[in-house]
Amino acid sequence: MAPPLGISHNSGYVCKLKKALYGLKQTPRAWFEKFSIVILSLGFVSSSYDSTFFIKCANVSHIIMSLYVDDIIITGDDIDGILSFEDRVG
Amino acid sequence: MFHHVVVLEHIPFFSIPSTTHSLTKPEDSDNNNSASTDTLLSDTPEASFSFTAPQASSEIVNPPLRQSIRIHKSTKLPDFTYSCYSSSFSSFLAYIHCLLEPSSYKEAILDPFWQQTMDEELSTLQRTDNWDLVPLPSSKSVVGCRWVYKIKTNSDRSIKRYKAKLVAKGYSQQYSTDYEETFALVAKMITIRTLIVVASIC
Repeated sequence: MAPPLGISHNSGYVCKLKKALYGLKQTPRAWFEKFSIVILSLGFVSSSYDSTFFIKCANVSHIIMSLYVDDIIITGDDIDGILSFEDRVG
Repeated sequence: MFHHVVVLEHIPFFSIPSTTHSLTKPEDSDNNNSASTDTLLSDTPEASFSFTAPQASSEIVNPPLRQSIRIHKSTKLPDFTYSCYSSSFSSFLAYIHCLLEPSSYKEAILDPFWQQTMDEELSTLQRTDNWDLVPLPSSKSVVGCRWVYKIKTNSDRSIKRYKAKLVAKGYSQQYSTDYEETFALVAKMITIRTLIVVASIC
């Protein structure tokens, strides 16, 4: 990528991106990959039927979640779990 | 089509008081037709911002001969002062003005405030190790990038935060050289419906 205005650099140098930046074609995929890693580390399990669907089962309570582009629907009977999830992700 | 219209882009149209109809020269609105003809003949850019006042009712009964009175628009905004407005209206205008987002880096760099938000964004990008500066290999092209400035507001219009973000011009990426497949995460509608049903039962 061309170096952004505002950084000092030698002429002829460019930015070799290591991560996705808003606007690239690869960005949504990279975001979902990162999101999956985080969400799986929190104990969620991905559905084999729909990859946007995640569920976390505790002893008695569940959290169910689905993604739509960059929106999340989340529900379940574990209110505290949902709130702490919001804190963690938001 | 819009020959008679002069757009005052920096003023919300719904609240222009009637006194603004002669923004530049008071005599223009008194003697509208001759002023416009003068504009045509002399072709002076100074006269181009005479704001055409709504025609008085007597003139509507006897409409003037239809002729081209095209007013040459200047890209410059007219000289603008708050003093011709009431204090509450000028404070409203000042509020609108201060919410203007710069459209380019050239504009933003003049404002130390936006400069600071850009510095913060850059330091975040550098801290998260987003890129390496490397020499450009020969016969390769680069994806451009630009700054986008956004004032985030709460639902009551109060300012939440000023945001400068760096975006890559992904539209210049070429299929099969720069990327193979794009990805859009979309849930199956049946999943969403099931989830809502479960939520309503829980």
